[in-house]
Amino acid sequence: MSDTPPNPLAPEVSPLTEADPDSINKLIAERINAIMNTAPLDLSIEGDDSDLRVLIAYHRRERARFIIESQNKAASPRAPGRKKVPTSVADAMVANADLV
Amino acid sequence: MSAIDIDGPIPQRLSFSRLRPNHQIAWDSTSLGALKRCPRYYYYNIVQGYSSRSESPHLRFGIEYNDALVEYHKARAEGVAYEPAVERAVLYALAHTWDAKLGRPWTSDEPTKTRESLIRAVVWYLDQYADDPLETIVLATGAPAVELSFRIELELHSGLTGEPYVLCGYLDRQVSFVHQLWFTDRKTTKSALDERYFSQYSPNNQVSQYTFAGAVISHKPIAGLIIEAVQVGVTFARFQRSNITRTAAQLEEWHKDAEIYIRQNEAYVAADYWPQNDTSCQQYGGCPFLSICGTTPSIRQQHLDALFARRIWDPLVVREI
Repeated sequence: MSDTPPNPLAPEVSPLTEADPDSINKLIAERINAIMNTAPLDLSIEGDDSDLRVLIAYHRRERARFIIESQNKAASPRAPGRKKVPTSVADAMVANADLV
Repeated sequence: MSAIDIDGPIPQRLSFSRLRPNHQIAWDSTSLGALKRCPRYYYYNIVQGYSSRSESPHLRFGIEYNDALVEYHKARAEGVAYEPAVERAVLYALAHTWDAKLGRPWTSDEPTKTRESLIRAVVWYLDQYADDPLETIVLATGAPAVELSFRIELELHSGLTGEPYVLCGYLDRQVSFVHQLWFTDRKTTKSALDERYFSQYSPNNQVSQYTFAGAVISHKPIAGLIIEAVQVGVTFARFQRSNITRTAAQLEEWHKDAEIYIRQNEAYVAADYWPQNDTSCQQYGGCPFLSICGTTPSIRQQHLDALFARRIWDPLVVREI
């Protein structure tokens, strides 16, 4: 543990730019949970970052993740015709920056 | 179709005779299927309206899933673009699974049939079929051919009252697919959507009745029924469609059988007695009335009233979506 006090002049670090994927996923989970526990009449529905669009985007991301995982699961040595989804493509498909 | 909670005497139902209250005249696939399954089950569940005290999460999920997708098709028929139509369907599902009185979301004790898995299934379905090869027919009124109610008068009259028998029900969607006319029916299940799953639809009372009805209300031959199944898991949804067809001879056979069952029911009505089919008690995942039929007749009524709620099924009452 460092004894150095925090530098008050240091630029504030955004939790999303520096956070690890687990933290981002936690933030997403919290937002989705809040949306699902909000009365529908109180949900924001206009704009790209509205509750409704974020909820839909979240489920689309989860679908992309599911498709990739299913395809990778099927790409076993016993199924040589099936190819794994490249990691870079998978990352792009499940990009989550617009969800939080 | 509509289920109405009651507490007291059974009210007059549109689908039952005005002359003999326990005599069903209008038959949907649920009630005909119940009669085919077991006359006693039919009597308890359809005639007397006994059903589980707790809401079935499977039934609720199926209704909400269907209704959200109907909302999507309505929006598309109104000229709404794909993305806003998806948003409308999702918002519809969210609103209809929110308990405004309690100020909380619908909760389910079935882990695969929850509010979250419902929203997931709706979004994933509309994503998978964004470019749907099934084109919804638009009716002359401009409305999409979804939730089509049908009432078909049979050339068969009750031997007890003289009233004409009617086949009735709802068809999910009428579509054009590869220049042929089809109807679709949505199914939700926990089962894998393999050959074995779809084999349950041939033969199948509901599929045959819908195919029969679809041909009658279309006034022309239809190719068949497309089962649009969704396998709902705790964290995923999988979709599969399967085209189910019937030959004219198969439909005629189903029609003939249906009339025999309906005629047989007259004997039960006349005797005021619906016998047990004790070979089907363990079928369909176990009959809900197993514990009732397993007791001596003199105490059954007491047990029915204690263990079940009364929810009257009247297929001629129009559902509002």
